[in-house]
Amino acid sequence: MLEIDDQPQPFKVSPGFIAFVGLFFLPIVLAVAVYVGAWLVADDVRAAEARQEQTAGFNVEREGGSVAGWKKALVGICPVH
Amino acid sequence: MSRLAQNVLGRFGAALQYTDFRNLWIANAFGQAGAWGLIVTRGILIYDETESSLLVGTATFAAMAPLFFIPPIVGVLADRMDRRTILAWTYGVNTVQNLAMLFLAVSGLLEVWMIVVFSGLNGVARAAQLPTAQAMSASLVPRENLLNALSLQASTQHGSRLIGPGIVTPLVAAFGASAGFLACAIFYVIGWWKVSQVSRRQPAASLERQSFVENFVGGLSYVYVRPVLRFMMVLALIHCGLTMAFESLLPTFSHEKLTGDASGFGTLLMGVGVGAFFASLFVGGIQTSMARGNVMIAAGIMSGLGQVVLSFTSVLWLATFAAALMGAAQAGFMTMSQAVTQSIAADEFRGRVASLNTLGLGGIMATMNLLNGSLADHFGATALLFWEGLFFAAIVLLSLLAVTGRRVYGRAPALEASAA
Repeated sequence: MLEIDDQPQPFKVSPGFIAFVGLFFLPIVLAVAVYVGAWLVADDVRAAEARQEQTAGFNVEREGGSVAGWKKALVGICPVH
Repeated sequence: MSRLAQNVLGRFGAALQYTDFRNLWIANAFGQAGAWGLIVTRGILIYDETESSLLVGTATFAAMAPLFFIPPIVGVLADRMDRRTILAWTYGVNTVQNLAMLFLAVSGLLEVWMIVVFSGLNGVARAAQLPTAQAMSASLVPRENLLNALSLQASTQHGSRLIGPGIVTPLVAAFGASAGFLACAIFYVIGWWKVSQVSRRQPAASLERQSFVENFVGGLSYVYVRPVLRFMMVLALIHCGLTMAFESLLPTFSHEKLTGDASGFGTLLMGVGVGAFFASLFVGGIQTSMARGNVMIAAGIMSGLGQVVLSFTSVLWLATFAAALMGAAQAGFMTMSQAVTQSIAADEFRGRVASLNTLGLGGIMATMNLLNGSLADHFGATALLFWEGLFFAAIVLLSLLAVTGRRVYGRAPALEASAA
């Protein structure tokens, strides 16, 4: 039923091979970087949000001791945080 | 048994006539039910104790994270060692960690950090179990029953999402989390018992003469130099990225178009699950190469267009129906793609091929869920569902123009020289 055959070609490390490997491994590296990164900065973001709630009209991103925009973005895109 | 029942079982359960596969299938069914039952038990327990969705998410993430780094290691091991031994260990580890949580819960010593650690352990065992079981299924049945075998395994995987929590949730509600841990431990013990009944098979001795890294790179190059195998795996990867990373879109879609909040999310997920379950069973009954190719093309196109249809719906019942269609097409396409890859791969490479699949698909779905989640805030979930679905349907149509694509779909003459 599954009579599909495949004709192997000679192997050499080529840009195509590197792209192929990247296709399988890069998404994982990216996902792990986001998860770990968000985990590392989540406390900073939550602390800043709590300060923001306490002080009406307080702009978290411009004040000293506030949280950087990239940290908020990182936590924002991580589904776990 | 009536003649009709015999015919149905003979067609849709053909692989079950092989004792070793039957044992593996039963083990897989109990293992999957245990895994989903455990997710529910952990979730209820942590939420009851802490009322923190974040901690529930952390425990679930701890169970999922090993899927990112365990498969490459296990893939090599599954080709170097007896696969039955690896599987038996995974069931053993899961039984022990469930019994440990049961003991700690009964004695009142169980804390949230312990559950997270046990979740990680459960994840490691599960990440080893999935590719090993896939590689093993392919070696327990003849090639003509491979699609049937993998479809039975896939239907078990989808069905267990309903059955595992369906059994465990009332137990946890009535008797507490301890009952959930006990039920999951029993599931895993039965799985371990059935796995231990599968015959041992000697792995290829040549692999042990190479280093672990050489084996791993050997697996990558093995896939890369085979155009059909490479094509199928890359297409499956694109399929998962564009059509299966919808979890982060559905709550927003439900809010945008259906119920005004995220409450339609669960109903849509159920639709996807039910569709996937029946489609997995259905593809197992396909008997000719041409039919398999045709169904695969149709499933690929429908997988994309199902998402497009879903994006146009604004009534929950209709959206659920579209989600079921989408789930059916996705599961059918993925089952057939796995059957194609496993049928091409030589047995001593099947562990590495299955692990590369698990790794790639898990990674792309995690990343695309992240990307979709953040893009949905700017462009809306409805637009993303529409364009990503349409894009994948177009890719499937375009793939018919390539000779390798036509070979995958059974529309090109077979090669004279078979794969080495």
